[in-house]
Amino acid sequence: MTMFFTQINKFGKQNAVFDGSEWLSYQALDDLVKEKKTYLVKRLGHEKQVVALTASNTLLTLVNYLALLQLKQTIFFIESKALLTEQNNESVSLCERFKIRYLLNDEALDSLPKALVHPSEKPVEIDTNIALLMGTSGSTGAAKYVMLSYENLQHNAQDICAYLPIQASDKTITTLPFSYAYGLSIINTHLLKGAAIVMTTFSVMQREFWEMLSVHQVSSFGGVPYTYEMLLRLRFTQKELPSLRYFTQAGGKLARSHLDSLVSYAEQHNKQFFVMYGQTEATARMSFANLEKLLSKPTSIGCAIPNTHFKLIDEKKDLISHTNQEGELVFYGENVMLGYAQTVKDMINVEPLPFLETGDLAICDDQGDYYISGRIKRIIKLFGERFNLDDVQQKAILFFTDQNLACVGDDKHLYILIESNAPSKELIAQCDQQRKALAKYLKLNHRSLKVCFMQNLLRTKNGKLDYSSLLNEVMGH
Amino acid sequence: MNNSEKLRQTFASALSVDLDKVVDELAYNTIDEWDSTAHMILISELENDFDVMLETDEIIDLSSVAKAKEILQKYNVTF
Repeated sequence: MTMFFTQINKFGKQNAVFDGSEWLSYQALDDLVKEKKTYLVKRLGHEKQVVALTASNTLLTLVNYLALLQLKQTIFFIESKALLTEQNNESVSLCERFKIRYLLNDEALDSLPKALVHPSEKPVEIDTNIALLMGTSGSTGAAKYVMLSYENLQHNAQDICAYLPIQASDKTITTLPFSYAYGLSIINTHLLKGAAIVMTTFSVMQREFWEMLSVHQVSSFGGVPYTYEMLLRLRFTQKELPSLRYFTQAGGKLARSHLDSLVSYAEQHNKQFFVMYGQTEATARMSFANLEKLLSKPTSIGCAIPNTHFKLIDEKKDLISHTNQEGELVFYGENVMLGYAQTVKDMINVEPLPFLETGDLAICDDQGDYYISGRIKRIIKLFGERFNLDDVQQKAILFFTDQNLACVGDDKHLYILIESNAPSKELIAQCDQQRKALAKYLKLNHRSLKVCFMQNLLRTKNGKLDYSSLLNEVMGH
Repeated sequence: MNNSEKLRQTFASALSVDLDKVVDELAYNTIDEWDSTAHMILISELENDFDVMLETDEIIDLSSVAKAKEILQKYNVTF
C-alpha cells in the first residue's frame, strides 16, 4: 500500500507548506524530510521505539512527523518540551511505561534526562504497525493511549478525501492542535491530495490569522464547536471570505443556534459545510453530514464515511435492526484503532480491532442517517477537550482530600459537588484553592470549573451516585 | 474603585492570574494563562463589567492591557 507520507515528492513543485515566511514545494519538503531522516537514523538506529515529538503548527513539526513516520518509529506527541521533565512525576511514569528515551524537539533530538530514562532489562519488540500513540484528553498523565497504525492513517485519509472536496489547488489553514486527531487528519488528507497547508500558531482571535487567511486565499478550514463559538463571536458570518469554499466542524456537538447560524451562512454565501462525527479511536472521522443533509436533518451526524459502516447494538450486544430504536453505536472500518496501550508491553504483536464500540447511544432513521441520543460513558467536551468525568472525579478526590464528592458536567462547565451540610468559611476558601489547583492540573480555565456544596449527594437505589439527578440539581441551583 | 482598578480586576479574574501581574504591558500569548480560550472569557467579562459591545476588530486588537484601555476609551470609559 502506498502511504501519503512516503510519496510526497510526487507532487514536485506544487506548494506544500507556508511556514510563516515562505512557501515550500512538496519537493523542498521531501528534501527536508530526507535530511532529517539521515540525522535521526544516526542517533536512533533502526530499532523501533517510542519517540516523543513536540507538536505545534510549524514546518519543523511537520518535517519531524513525516521523518518519524517514514522511519517507522512510533510517535508520541507532547505539547511542549516542558512537559517532559524530571520534576514532573507523570512524565517520569510516562517515560518508564513507554520506554521513551528521546524527545524530538523542533531542530534537535534530545536524549531525555537520566532520571527519566529507565534502563530496560530487555528491549521490547514494538509491533511494526504502530505509527502513533494518541492521548484522548488534554492531560499528559492519561492512563491509556490510542494505538494507531500506518494503515489506519492512510485509510482514514483516503476515505475522508472520498467525501470532502479537497483538491490539489486547495489551501487550508491550521486552526487545531497538530497532535489532535482532527487537526492531524486535516494535515494528512491535504498531503494525500498534494494540497497546500498554511501552518500558523496564531489563533482565530489574532489579527495575523485573518491576514494570512486573506493573503493566501485560504479555501477551507476546520474547527471544533469552540472554534466556531469564537468565530461567531467575531461575527464571522458577516464576512465575505471570497476564497473560502468549504468549512468543516467536528470534535463535539455544536449548540443548535450556532449550527443554524453556520448553515444559513453557508447557504447564503454559497459555501459548503460539513459536520463530522469521530473519535481518536477511529483515527479521526467516522461520519459526515453535508449542507443538504444539515438543512433537512440538522441534528443528525449523517451516515458513515465511504468504505465504513455503523451498526447499533442493544445491552446484550445483539444487533438492532429496527429504525428509530436506541442502541450503542458500533463502527466498522479500516480506521478503527489497534487498541489501547498503558505500557509498552501492550504494544507487542497487536491485532487490529474488528470494530469500535463508540460508547455513544444513537438511533438510525429509515434513510440510514444516525442521531446521537446519549452517552454510555460519562464524557463531556469543554473547549474541544474531552473529559472523562469518572477520571476527573478520581483526580478530584486527590485534590479535595477528606471530601465526599461527585463530578458532573455539561458543555459549559465541570462541577465538583461536595457533600457538606453547612460549609464553613474556611472550608469554602480551602475548596476554592483546591478548585484552582485542579483546574490548573486539568489545563482548564478555572472559570469553567465550579464547586457546589450539597447536603446530600443523591444516590440511586443501589447506592451509586445518581449523576443525572445530581446534574439536574446543580443546574437548578 | 476607579476604572483602572476595575479593569485590572477583570483581567486578573478572567485570566486567572495575580492582580500584580496585570500591568499595561501584559500581552496576549506572553503568559500561558492568556490563550485564545482565556481571551474569549476576557472579552465577555470586559463587555459585562464595562457594559459595552465590542466589534470584531476590537476583539482581535485587544492584545494587551494598554490596548484594552485604548479601546474602552472609545466607549467613553475614562482611565
